[in-house]
Amino acid sequence: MATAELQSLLEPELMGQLERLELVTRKIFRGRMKGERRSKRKGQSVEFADFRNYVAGDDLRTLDWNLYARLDKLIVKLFLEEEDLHFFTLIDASPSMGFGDPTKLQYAKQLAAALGFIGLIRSDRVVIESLGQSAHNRGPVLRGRRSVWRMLDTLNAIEPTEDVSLAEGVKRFCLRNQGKGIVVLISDLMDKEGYEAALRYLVARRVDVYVMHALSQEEIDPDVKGDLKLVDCEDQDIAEITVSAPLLARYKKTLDAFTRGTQEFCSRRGMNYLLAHNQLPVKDLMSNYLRRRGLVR
Amino acid sequence: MNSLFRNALDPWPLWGLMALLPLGVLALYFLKLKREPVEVPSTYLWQKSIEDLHVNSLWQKLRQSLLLFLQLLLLALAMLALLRPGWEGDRLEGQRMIFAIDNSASMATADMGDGTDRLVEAKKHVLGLIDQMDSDMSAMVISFNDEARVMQGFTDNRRKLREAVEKIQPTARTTNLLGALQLADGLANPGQVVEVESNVAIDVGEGEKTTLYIFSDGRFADVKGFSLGNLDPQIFVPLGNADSKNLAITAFSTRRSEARPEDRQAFAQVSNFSDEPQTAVVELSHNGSFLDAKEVEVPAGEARGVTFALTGVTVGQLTAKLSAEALFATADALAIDNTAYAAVNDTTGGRALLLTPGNKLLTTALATERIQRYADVEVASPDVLTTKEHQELADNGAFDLIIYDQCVPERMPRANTLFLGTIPPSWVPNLEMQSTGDDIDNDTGDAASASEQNGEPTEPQIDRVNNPQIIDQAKEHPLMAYIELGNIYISATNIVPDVVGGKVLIESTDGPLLTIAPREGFEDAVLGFEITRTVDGSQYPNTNWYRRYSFPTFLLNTLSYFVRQSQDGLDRTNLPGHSMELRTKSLAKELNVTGPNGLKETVQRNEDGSYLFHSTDSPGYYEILEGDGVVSRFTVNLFDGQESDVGIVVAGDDDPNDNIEPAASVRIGHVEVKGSASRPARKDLWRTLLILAVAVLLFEWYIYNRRVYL
Repeated sequence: MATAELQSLLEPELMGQLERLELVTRKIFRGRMKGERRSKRKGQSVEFADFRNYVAGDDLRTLDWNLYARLDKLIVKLFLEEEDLHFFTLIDASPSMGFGDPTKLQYAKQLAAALGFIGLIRSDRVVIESLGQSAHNRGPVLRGRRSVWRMLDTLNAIEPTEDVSLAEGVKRFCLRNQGKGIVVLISDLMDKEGYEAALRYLVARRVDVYVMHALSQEEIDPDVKGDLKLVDCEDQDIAEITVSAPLLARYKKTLDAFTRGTQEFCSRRGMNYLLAHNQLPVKDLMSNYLRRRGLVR
Repeated sequence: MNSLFRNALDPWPLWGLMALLPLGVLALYFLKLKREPVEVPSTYLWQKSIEDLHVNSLWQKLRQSLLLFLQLLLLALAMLALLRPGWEGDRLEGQRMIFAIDNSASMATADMGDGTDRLVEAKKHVLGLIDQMDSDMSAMVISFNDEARVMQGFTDNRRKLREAVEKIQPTARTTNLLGALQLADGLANPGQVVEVESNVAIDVGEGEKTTLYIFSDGRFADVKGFSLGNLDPQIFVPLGNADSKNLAITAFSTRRSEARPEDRQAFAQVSNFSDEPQTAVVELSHNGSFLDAKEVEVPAGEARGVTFALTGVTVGQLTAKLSAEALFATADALAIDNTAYAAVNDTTGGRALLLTPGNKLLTTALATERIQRYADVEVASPDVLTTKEHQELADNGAFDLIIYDQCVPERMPRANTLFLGTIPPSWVPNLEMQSTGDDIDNDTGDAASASEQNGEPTEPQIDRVNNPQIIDQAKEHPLMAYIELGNIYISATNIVPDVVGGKVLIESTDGPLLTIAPREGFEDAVLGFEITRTVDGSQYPNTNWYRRYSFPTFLLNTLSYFVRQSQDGLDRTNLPGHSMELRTKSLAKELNVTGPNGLKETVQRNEDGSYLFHSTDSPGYYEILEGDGVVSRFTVNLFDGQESDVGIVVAGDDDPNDNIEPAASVRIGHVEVKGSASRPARKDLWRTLLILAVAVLLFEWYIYNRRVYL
């Protein structure tokens, strides 16, 4: 894998910028390992949190003997738990993602790389997977700054050839990964069967879901003219159109309705929706949009 | 086929084909719309976008298919263009056409609205008609003024026809439609043979019908004695405006003053061809320098004369011009008749010839100093009459006056004559019946036949009487000025026979003794009695007149009258385009003529001793040069009331919106050719339609490319 190609996913300036950020979640998750993240849960760390009365079954090691001596009561010391975060990035690698300049897939990879990098340097568990992966074949779990190159390799290996519906892909993902955490789904959501079923799977998992809707310039403002036969690259479906200004206006309206509908769907279910236009540099997206949305800090 | 449409597709089955074209376009549009396949990430949004279009797809498609409509419109326009729609108007008729275009002086009248003249308008009409011609039509172009000219013979080559029309230039000539008609007739009916004996045209072949178009302002007389034959139908296109006004000099000449014959006067006639009285100022200039100006009030439709005294003007060019102010006030439409020219020739040094067998009384009386001032009198015997040199001189007009004393020429000379004691052959009644036809010259034929009509055919030739008593004399005639004929004895005399146009100057108890009569621009005076008679070689007086003062006075009168008249005759004016016979007193092989445009032209002497000059197309002042010296001058003027009266005759019932007036008809033979109220030139729309079609095509292209939907 050429270094240049890897670097195009994650440029040095961007890395410098990302090092100051960290992933945020609004929900309390249990990490599998101790991480750098101070959890809202009480646990075993050096930082004192609170006292409470002893109840039968508590670990005797946590009893505060000094207090017992003074008050003759069994008081248990509680400490703040430090934990790691499960950060999942799910990339839609269907053929439709191979369009655009840069391609939507490339853009998705850049986005995933940037987010994954933040997770890695904060010692979170970063998992990057594509929709097409089978239910049992899990992606590598990455952790620590050293794993950046592995992450980029994993990203590079993803090709826009997977012929799997959005719902099926998400379902497989849910089967593979039981842990809670943050799930970022990067997809164009152009599934004839609808994106709703797919998103519902994620809702059921009670994870912090971010839907990044990747759209290319040619989808937002199509540059077509004349009498055309549009062929769907995935299912070879054909749409015959005669391009005219009203048709284009209608298309824009449809697109608008589509994105708004998705956004509404997401926000109702506590998911975050973000339209990722492939002409918008990742740097800007990270520093402005995601920050504002609260994914990073 | 009505006049609105002319189908360019003649066979009717083609119409069916044309009707199928729009259907074909529709079918192609729906059945075989070739769509360019384009691969897109997803048709998801597109399908949603066009979903509702499918609901009422056909009508929606039609509504949205602006391009289809544009294509149909384009096709419709192209088809309409093929139909060749045009404005209402007479269409081009017939398969063979003759376009006769008037290019006489009046066609230069600039009254066609936007300042163009009638000829330009006529050309425009003809070019419009030529554009309409189909490939199987043929036409010819004739330009006519007082003579007709074929600009282009029958051809179907429209380029040639157009060139021929463009070549037609305005002239200063008068109009004669007959020439054009004869020419057109001859060319339209090539199968005609004219039988020489009876001068009757016989059709030997079936002549093709030929449409005759006459483009003229109608300023000519009706044509009589002409049958249009195959020239049918005829269309007369009147050009011009009925209320065009014109102020013209319709006559301009110089003459001797009645009161003082040694002085000259210039006389100009100003005609007012408008419906209001006009005040014209005539400016007279001599050799370019201003001489005099006079104002004249001319009532509407009338002419007024103005006279200038020409004191001190002996030779040169006189120009009479209407002042610019008057022309502006009149809104003068024709420029060519605003200037007139006259030539003044030197009147001294006349040449007279006395042919006498020997008459001392006469030669003595002609030798006086006063007489020599008018002319050099040469004396010769009647024998020279038969010499060639004399005949050439006489035919050439070298002499201002020839006096025939007791002799007669074989044919009358080109000079004024005085006969003493003899009667000119042309005056003798019944000569034709008594002698063979060979003796009669063509010159004398008219007079002889005229006298035949007047006189009694059974009368003997000449009455000869003795001792006639003079009872009356015409004292007002210049020849008889200061002549007292009382107490004159005449031994024997011929009674001068009556002659057409003759004026008896001396009347006796037995009949006229002295008569003067005009002959082709000359005058002949015939005195019945001779002065002396030669009997047996000796001379005897026949009268005692020679003893009176009145005798040399009569001879002086004769010399001054005839020589001056002859000289005045040199100040001739000629109609434009008419050939001019030049006179000179010598027998030069060639003469040079300089015209108003400064060009010099050499005129060769003809076999019969005459000089014919043809290049008289432009009005103006011409000089005849022999060697380098100017021997004579003449002018060319358009003095033609018909041409100057530029307003065309209107038959009434006029549409004020067009500048084509319903002119009164033209009579040709027994046929009345009505002036067509509308021009026969069609205004074709097909060019406009094609341009529109191209515009639609461009619009379609624009919409296709820019996806504009209106």
